[in-house]
Amino acid sequence: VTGSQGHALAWRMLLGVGDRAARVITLAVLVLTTTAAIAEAKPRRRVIDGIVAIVDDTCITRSELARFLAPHEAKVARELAARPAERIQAVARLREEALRGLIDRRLFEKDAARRHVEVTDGEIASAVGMLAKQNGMTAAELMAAAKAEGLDEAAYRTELKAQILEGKLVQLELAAANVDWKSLAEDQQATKMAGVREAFAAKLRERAFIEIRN
Amino acid sequence: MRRRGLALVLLALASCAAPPASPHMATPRPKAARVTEPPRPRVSCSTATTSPPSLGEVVLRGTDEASACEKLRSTAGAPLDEARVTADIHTLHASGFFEDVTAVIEEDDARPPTLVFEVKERPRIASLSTRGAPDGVDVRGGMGSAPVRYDPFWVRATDARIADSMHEAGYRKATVGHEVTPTADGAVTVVFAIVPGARSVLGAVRFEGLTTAPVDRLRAVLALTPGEPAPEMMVERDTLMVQSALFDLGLVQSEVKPRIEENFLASRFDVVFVVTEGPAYRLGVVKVSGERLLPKDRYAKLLATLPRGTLFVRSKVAAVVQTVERMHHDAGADRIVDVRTTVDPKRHTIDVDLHVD
Repeated sequence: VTGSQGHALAWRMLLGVGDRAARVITLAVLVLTTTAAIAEAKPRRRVIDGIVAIVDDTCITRSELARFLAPHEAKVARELAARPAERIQAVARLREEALRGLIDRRLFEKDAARRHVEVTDGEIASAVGMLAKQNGMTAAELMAAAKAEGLDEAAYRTELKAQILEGKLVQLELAAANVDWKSLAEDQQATKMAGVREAFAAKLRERAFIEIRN
Repeated sequence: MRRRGLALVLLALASCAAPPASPHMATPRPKAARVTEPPRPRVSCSTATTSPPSLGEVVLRGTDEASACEKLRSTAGAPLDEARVTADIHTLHASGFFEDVTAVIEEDDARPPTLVFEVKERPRIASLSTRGAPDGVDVRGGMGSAPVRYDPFWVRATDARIADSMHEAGYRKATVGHEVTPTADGAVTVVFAIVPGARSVLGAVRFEGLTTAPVDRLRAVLALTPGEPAPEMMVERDTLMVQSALFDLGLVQSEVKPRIEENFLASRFDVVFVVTEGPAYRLGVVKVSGERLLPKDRYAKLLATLPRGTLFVRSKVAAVVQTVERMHHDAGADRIVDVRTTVDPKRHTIDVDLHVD
């Protein structure tokens, strides 16, 4: 008894049907089982990374966005642990902001390269020292605190580098705008700086080719 | 694993909750022909000879462009390294062949995992041309070396370069756009459409608001020439040069703003530099500070060129800074001179501290 004969015999016995009907049923069963076997053989597919945005001739990847977002997301998760619906909305908002932040950062880097503006290792080291002093910590303690927030030492230094670079570019914009810096109170300085930074970023975005992919 | 978990949560959120981008950020995709290619071509970049959990194979799916494999850092036989995968996505995107790249791991129980880069090819450029360029104006230089595949960034940048060429040729109001049309075989044709407007040249350069600065000193630094085209870039350059010349006259708070005045003849226009001079500043105390300085008499001669009470001339101060740096270099110890200035707005003086770092 071959496999198909066996199937037909089994169906005939089970359902009490004739040869022809049994053959049809057997064929259908064979098709179904073969399809199932093919489905089982299909490999499992897991997306690990991809492009989320294009900025001029460069791209931003999903993993870069996730890394940038991780410390902020962890904070939101902690703060809204008891309110899951709000947390989901906050994370979605955060993701949008983070992507815009990364796009701006890429634009600042490109503009800095064009103007030959750089950040040296010494500048990063002195920023670490200054921040540690402001927080009453040693540099090692500051790094440990950053790690607790989800940033390892390399990521923290990269973050500082980006912020110093942005600061330098904003200073150049302030100088070009002839802002009388010393005549402004501290809070006015902060507001002015934020305004100049946003106007500068908007100007760079306007000139750039930006495509966001969901 | 935790990060991957978060990333997946984020992806789920992104697909259903991410708000649309603002109009200035959303750039429509080109009307490129759809690539329909069942079954999708596939290139095997490397195959493992070792056992799991290393990658069994690294594959590009969606292209037969085997040369794209060459620069990949992910290799079969090595464990999956997500940092390398990210770098490979950047490399593949930067190659100019692909408009989209997604990295996927495919695994089943029988074989080691396969790293698949699913790519979407950019359409091939079938032809590039321009339309509307006036006779005698060569805009091909603005097109530079054209890519083989359609790249919206390159096309947009080329619009700007062709517009610059037109402005330099005297077509100040020229605008450039592009038309991308799919062809039957999945490629695209790109046409740069130029609207030149009227050609105009510089009539005259004038200054407004000068009270102490001699106009001849300012005219001497100008590159703008009456009767010649005056593109915006040249007007910007001359604005900076005039500003710099004013700084060398002690007018360190001066401002210069250019204004374009259309002449009654459409073919001519004037450039007016509107100057706000502010007070003239003079030098206060000038000194050298810092550690590990050279003997004092080495600086004294230099500082004598910046006598107290004379006009603050920025180029003179810059020249002294360069000389101090050269002196230290010649003495075998490179130093950077940080110029620290203290401005007294009441007495209109500037103290200068050349701090050797």
